[in-house]
Amino acid sequence: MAITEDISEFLQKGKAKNVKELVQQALDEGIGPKVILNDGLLSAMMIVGKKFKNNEVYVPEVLVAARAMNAGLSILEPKLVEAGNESLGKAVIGTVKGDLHDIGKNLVAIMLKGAGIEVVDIGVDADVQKFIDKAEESNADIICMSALLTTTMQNMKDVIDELQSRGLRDKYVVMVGGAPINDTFAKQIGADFYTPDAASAAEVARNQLLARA
Amino acid sequence: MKISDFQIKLNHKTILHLLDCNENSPQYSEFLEEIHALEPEITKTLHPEAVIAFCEIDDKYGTDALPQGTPVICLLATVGEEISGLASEYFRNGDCVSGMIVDAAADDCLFQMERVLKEAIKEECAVRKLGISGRLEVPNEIPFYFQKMIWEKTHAQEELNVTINDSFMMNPVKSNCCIYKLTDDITMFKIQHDCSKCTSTSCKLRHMSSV
Repeated sequence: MAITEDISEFLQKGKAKNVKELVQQALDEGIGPKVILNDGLLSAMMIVGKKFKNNEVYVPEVLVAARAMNAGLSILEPKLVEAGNESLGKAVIGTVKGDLHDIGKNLVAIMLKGAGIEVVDIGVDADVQKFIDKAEESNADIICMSALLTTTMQNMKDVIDELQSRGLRDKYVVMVGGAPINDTFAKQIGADFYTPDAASAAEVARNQLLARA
Repeated sequence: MKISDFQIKLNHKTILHLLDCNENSPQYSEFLEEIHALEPEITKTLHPEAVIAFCEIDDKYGTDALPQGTPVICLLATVGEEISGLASEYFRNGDCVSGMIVDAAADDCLFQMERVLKEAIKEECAVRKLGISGRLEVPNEIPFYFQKMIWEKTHAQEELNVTINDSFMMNPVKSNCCIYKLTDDITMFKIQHDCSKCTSTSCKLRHMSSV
């Protein structure tokens, strides 16, 4: 069995230590970092994401897999930089102005990374300017906004309105999520997508980027 | 009245339940081990404190259902800011398992605090010869802006170092508040949250008793 398949197997089981060791071994054997990333880490995370969507695995399995992926990435990232690897795309993610909740946003960020997307995390309580400035500055493809309160979710619209008024709306895929958000609200404020969980957010983001490529 | 003596011991079962990790999960034993390993650090960073205030609904906050002058108890409880910082730190380091466990432990702590607070409120009501006709929470029974009133009435800034912003969001994030409606009927003590009336149908603590 190819070592990338072993990496994938261990990652799906959430065995961070094994993933880390095998990624190092694969590099030592001369396997390219992009191959390890795509065939070992990302493919495994996609399998886990699909299984989660189909209710074959649950939150704990996704969490341990994501942690294992991060362990592998910590070894791989310097090599990827050296190899000049380009990510699938870039997403700016943050919790909107007035809202300090970050757990949901953090989970989405980790799953986006697991889908091969570069993440620019702008934290919590992020205002309109911060979202747009960071997206422009980092040449992002996607803007992801999170809100946990009905009193703050309206601030998502401000970001979209400002994108519109600056003529930047079509440049970005805008995704929204959080406990009080739903599809109807997303449509009302002019967002492109609402996703109910981190795994679907990563899947939608990846599909959008693949479609754009 | 400030209450700080909670003596919380993490409830592993509740934490695992909050993480959707039941005994049949392949990750059950691993998560349990992680909780054990994290427990000293979590316990050190949890700072459970609460304030209860007997007061009346102010003019500016009065509603048809809860008019000005209605006698109430305002409760604001928090586990402090440090625990959220710890969860964020784990996430920053790519350890989402520990991050989620720490976050769930904070929720478990808030949940457990209710037992102590219930007893404290019961005692205070007995002294004042008052009963409780209902528990009102944001956003189901009272609008979000009531959090500001509760925050003011409990002097949460001075007593608990809890701040509130224009969106009525409290900081530390792991803070809870509610209003208990008082009655002269001392036999009535409807202090429990009523899950059957709550619209948070996806709440992991739905129908789990804190006592």
